[in-house]
Amino acid sequence: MILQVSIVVQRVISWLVFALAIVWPSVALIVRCITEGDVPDGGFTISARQWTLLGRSVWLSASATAVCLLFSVPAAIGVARCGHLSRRPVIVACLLGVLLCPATIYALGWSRILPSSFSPQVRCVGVWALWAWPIPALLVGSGWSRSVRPVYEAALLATTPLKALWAVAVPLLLRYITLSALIVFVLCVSDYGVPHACLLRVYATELLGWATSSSRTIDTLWPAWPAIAITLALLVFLGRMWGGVPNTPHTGPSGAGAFCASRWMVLAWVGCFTVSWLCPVGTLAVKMVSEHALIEALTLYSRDLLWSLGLSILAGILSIMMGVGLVWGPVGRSVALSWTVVFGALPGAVIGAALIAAYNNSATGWVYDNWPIVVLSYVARFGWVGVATAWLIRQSVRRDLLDQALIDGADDGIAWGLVQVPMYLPTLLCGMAVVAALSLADVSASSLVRVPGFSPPAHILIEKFHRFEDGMLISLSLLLVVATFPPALLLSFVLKRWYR
Amino acid sequence: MAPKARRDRPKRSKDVQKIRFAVKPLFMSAELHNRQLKTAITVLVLGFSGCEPSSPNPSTATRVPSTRSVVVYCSVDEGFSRSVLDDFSRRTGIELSVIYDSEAGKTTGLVNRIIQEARSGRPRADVFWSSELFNTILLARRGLLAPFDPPSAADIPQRFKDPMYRWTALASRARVLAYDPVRTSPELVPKTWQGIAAPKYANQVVIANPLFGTTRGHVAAMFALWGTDRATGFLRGLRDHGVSIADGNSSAVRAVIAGRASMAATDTDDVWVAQRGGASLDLVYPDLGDGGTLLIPCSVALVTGVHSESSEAARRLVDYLVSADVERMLAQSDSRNIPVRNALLAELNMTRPPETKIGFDAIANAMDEAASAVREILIR
Repeated sequence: MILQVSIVVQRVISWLVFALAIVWPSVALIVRCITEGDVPDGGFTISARQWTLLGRSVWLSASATAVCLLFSVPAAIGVARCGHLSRRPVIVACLLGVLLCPATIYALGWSRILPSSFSPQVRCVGVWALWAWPIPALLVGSGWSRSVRPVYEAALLATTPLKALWAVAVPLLLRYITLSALIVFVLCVSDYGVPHACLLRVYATELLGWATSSSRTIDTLWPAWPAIAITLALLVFLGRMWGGVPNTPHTGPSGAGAFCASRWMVLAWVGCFTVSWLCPVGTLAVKMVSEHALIEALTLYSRDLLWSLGLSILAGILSIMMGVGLVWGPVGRSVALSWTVVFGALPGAVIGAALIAAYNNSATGWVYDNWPIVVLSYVARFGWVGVATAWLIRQSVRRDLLDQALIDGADDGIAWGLVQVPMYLPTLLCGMAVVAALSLADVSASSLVRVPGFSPPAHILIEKFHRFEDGMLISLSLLLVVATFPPALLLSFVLKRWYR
Repeated sequence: MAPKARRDRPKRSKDVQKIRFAVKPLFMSAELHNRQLKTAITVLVLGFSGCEPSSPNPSTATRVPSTRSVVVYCSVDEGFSRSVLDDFSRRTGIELSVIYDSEAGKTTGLVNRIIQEARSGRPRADVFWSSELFNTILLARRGLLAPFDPPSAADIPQRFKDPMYRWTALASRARVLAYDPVRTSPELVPKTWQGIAAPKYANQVVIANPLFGTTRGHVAAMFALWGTDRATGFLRGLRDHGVSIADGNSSAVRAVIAGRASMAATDTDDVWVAQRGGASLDLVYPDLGDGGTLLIPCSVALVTGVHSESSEAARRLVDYLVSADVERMLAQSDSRNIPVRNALLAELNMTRPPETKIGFDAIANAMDEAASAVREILIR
């Protein structure tokens, strides 16, 4: 009974979060644009300069995605050969450690390694790629070990390894590669912090500029349409690629004990981690002038750090709850999922403008005035990660266990609560941590929905960067890096304990 | 009956048993579960209510004088303004809730926020402490600022105060051309602002986006002083001869440091902080056309609201922010703002660079025209 009530409560919360963070802001955005009845300040045309910026954004993001996929190959092979990540908590901790650290910090680290005359475009592409490589590594590696490997092994009985790889494994893996590529691309194309730290103007910079320079919603929404169109086209492409494909259930612990890391594999892993995490973070640590700056940063900004961490974690929890509720929702599942993903793929400035349109009024003033609007902006922006996590779990759910539970007399809710959640709890926690990390690093949406009393560390970092306050900048960066240690270690520990 | 029915069921698989065993500690009993749920909710609620960043809800805090919290929107350098506001809060016991503008917002973000909040009938800020003046004048013209003549501003020259006392200005920064003296000889730096649009200079110059921050006021000053034809010709010259546009003044300065441009049109404070950071930079004060460059003061104002006009705490804060003490601190800070008080200039042994004669109101009048021209000519 208690469990059923919990499940009902969880579903109510998830749909409530969906309504508050996704539905109402998107409706309010459109209604506000219509009721304002203005033409955009820059007219209804997109200028040549804006097209150039958009082209630059797409080009940089696409390059970063390609480099990221290439860079992730050794890690993906490693993950695939693990069979199950629970056997390699160190690998999990490394992957999460890289991913949870805000990418802006890597950009700041690399700006101290490379000469100032180094190409900002290459630096931006490199930082994005070196930050995001755990995403394809995890997705492609898991995809191989979960569903592709058995099919590939079966194909080996009839044909050569090369032919089996090309004709059987690659087409199956292509879906995972495309999914991870799209995730990386969307994260890069909507990012403000890394290009800003690399002194690059991209389309996200332009949109945030429009959003801050005008008090009219249409001025933010209209210039965003090309970016929205590109993202929608990619999402439709991905939907067609994944749609109609039957679930690829987890095939059990195949490959158990198959992990034998060769010397080259270990070297590749160490190389990946060193280049992506150790070099930039280590450089920042070495460049720290004195511990005095660290203490000062802690004294001045501990409240801001704690608040931001708390709100980011809350956003992570709510995003996962929303994802789970929508994916296992009884009605309107596909509409809700599409809505969340499409809204989350919008540029951050548009999401911020939507939240202002939704909550800057007397009826919902409390939300606008206080921390809930910050959490809602994070959920609106990164809730799709929670949805994607839940959806991936649903794709690979073990039908045999579910059927067994149903035969046992459990209803859907009980089966969900007692079979699926426990099985995939570490995955859900990983999704939660990723949402929290992305929220902590967000600049664009949170610039527009700031509340009095605390400043997000990502904003302070940019401010310190521009004021040439290196001591404080490095100290704050290191504090944020340290903040990612506990979740990374905790998750790897949970993963190991849970599946032991 | 239930236990019996359960016994009649088919045997569970090992995996299901394993999972149930794993979950058992969490759902051992309804009592335990309730207790955990209650604890979690209590921690969450207490955590957020106890640590709430004292953000006053306008419906309660800004309208109930007993809540002494004052909401401040601040676009002055965060590091400096934070220490000033914390100091004020400590000394007076008045609680402050501050939104600091980031480099991404460049003052314009907070200005539009004030406009949006007023439009929705929910003014939220009590005090606006801006790093520039022209947007503050525009807010005053929209009726969004409340009159208040702070006693401590008595020694500020009248031209730095609104005739209706809706704002007070102090602590200026000058518009300058920054360059790297190692790479660029001082003789090669243009001596007038008009000169940077010349073919031999424009492609070596980087400017911040003129729709934001102090660059916006700078271009408006050109329109006010030069007239439309000459100013639009200047913008066309910049565009046609390949000027670079950066995201902000600081980014423009960094482009010079990185060697991607020879000169940056920026504010004095950006050069001073870069110099302090070890950058090889120097500056000149180009002539706007009437004998000096543009000096842009910071401004302090009370925001119109149900409560702010009568808020003693907000008035005390405004009075403090325009005081000679704060102006002295700004002059002695890394940004080395130029005091508007002559006595302070003498006391600190500082000199004011040659200044344009164009008035602040005239510049504010030209803001919209300048922004339209920038959008039409430069930012296309």
